[in-house]
Order: sequence, then C-alpha cells, then structure tokens
Amino acid sequence: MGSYWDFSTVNEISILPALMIAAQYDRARILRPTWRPKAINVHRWEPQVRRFLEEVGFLELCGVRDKTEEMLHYSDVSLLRFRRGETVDGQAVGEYFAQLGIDLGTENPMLYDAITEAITNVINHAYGKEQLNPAQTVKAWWLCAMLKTGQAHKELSIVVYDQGASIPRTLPYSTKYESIKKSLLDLFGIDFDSDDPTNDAKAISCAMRPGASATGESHRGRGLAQIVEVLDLSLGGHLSIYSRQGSVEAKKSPGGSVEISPVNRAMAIIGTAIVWHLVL
Amino acid sequence: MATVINIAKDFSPFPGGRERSDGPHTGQAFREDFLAPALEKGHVTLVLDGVMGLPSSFFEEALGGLVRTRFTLRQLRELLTIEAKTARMSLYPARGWDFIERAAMHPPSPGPLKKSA
Repeated sequence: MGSYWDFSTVNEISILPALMIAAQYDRARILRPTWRPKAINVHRWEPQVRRFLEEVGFLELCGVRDKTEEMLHYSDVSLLRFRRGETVDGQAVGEYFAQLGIDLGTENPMLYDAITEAITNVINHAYGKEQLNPAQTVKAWWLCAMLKTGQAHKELSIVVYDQGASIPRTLPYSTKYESIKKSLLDLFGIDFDSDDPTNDAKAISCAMRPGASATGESHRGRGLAQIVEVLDLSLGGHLSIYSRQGSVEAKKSPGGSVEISPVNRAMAIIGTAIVWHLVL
Repeated sequence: MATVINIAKDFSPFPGGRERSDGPHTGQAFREDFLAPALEKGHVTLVLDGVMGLPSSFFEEALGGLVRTRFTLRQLRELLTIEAKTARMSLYPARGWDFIERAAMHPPSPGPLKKSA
C-alpha cells in the first residue's frame, strides 16, 4: 500500500469501494500502529467522494478529522461509519443497525440471519491459516450500511467485507470440492483450478448452491443459501458477491426463483465482499 | 421434570456462530450449557420468540448437534417441543426439526480435506 492516495481524480464512489479502501487502511494501521495513511488535496476531492470517505471512517484514519460523527446525514442518505469485528457478535450488529433507526428485533429475522451468517463465514473460512501471511493478516470482518429514504421506498445497502483468501482459493479445502468441480464441468465445461482466477465467478456461483459448504461436513453449508434467502424480503433487491476476480449477482425473478449471474472481472480484489441492496 | 428455555431471555437475544470460538453466543455454547443439560433432566419447551433471528450455523449446531452428540431422533421427539408464538418466528420451529432430522439421517463425515501442495 502506498504512502498516500490522491482521490482528487475520482469522480464518484459507492459504499463498497469506500468500505474496501477504509478497511485496507484500517488493517494497515493495526499492523503498523504508528503509521497513518496520508490524504492529500482533500479540498480538491469531489464532494460526494469526500463525503463517502469521511462518513465511512477513512478520513478519520488519515487524521484529517480526529473524530467524525458516527453517522452523518446528507440529502436523503445516511451512511454509517464502518464497524470491525473478529467474532460473530450479534449484539454489535444489532447496535450498529439501531444507529440507522433499524431495529433488527422487529424486522424480518432473515435480515439478521443473513448478516450474521456472512460474518460466521468470514470467521470460519476466510482466513485459512495455510493461505495467508500472518504478518499481513488481520482476521476481521468489516461492516458498513447505508440507508436512502428519499423515495417512496427505503433502500438499505449493507456490505460485509473480509480481506481473506477469497472463496475460489478456499474451495479446495472443502470435502465438497469434488462436487463443486463436477458442477463446474457439467454446467460450464470448466476444469477448475483454484490458482487460476479465470473462472472465479462461475466457481462462486456453484458454491452458492444450498448444501455446498467450505468444510463439506453434511450439517454445514446453509450459510450462503441464507445469505441469498434475504432477497425474499425485498422486491427489486439484489445481492452481489465479489471474491478475487469473480462477481456474482443474485436477484429474485418475478416468478420467485433466484437468478444468478456470474461475471469475471479484469482486476482481483483482496478477499470477499457481500453486498445486499434491499428495497424495504 | 419439565423445563422452559427461552433463548432470548435465558441465553441471548443475539445468537450467532456455530462453535464456541466463533463468538459470545454460539450454538455449541447454547446446546452444551443450556439445552442438553435440561434435556437430560426431562422435557424441554424451547421458546424461540424474542431473538433477533436464528442464523442457520447457530440453530443447526444447537439442535442438530444434539443428535451428533447425545440424543436420538426418537428421544428428541419425546423430550423436546419447539415453540414460536409470534408470526415473526413462525417458520423456525419447522426449520429446527428439519435440522434435527437431517442430522439423524446424515452422521458426521470425516473432516475437511487438505489441499495438496
């Protein structure tokens, strides 16, 4: 990671890259406590970019402001500063959403289930000890949420992000790896190699099938399905999973089935991000 | 002896995670510290209302884990009642029994494979 990044060339930023940037700098600061990322030319940044990076907590990491508000409101958007955790801490999740005025205790329980399952997957699978350099790894999850209230419906965006080994790289550790490999061969004609990112998106889409888990034990493996299930709550909502070079979008069809679209991207990301956009 | 266990009140309204090492309110902790000891003494009514949710890792480990560790499906049918009175949690008792029945049908498999070098 360089010593500074000039965001004055960025025209617009969304919640996912804002969180990923903040999380990477957060990890760097944990590993090197005396280091502080530099934000330069802040006055020249596009207002939307500055606002997102400020609200998500990045500018505080840079020391541009010592302590920003936990949540700043502007226009019809409320974006919460990210939360980091290293265990499945449902209370922290509940308190986080309460700041947005969302009581997970009265919302459909599928919402809490999906978020905590995503965090459980991070804790159990993202940071395989054989795959990552411990000197550069912080075994954590980062959570961020944004609420748009200006239209007829509320739009809730949630991101759970980790900086782990990625879904495609952890698949060979599964006893269901052979089943996933067979699905890739049968459905797409692909002989999957976890070191080759070319087919990451299709590999993720096969791993999302109910019952496919990273451990292969028969009692595990509903996690990814439950992460998708929350789309039942939301007409017009969708879920995106980004992992290494793969991205998969899942949305409900008018008939109620889940349509999954895998797309491989030119650039890899570190780890895995799960993004829900829900229309409430 | 009959016992009523309310997950939200007796354990936590914020359940999540499978094994103890996952977090503060996991399925393994609930099963080992609350549910299994109560079932050893007699009938248990498990009340689900009041929790934020019941993530599958938690719920499966709490209930399916009973079969993997100490109890048969037949014993649990006699000893356990899973109850949800609110509409919000109405789907979860059937999901809980599904976890128990699946655990009874599928005994634990060997652990995960190691990736070859």
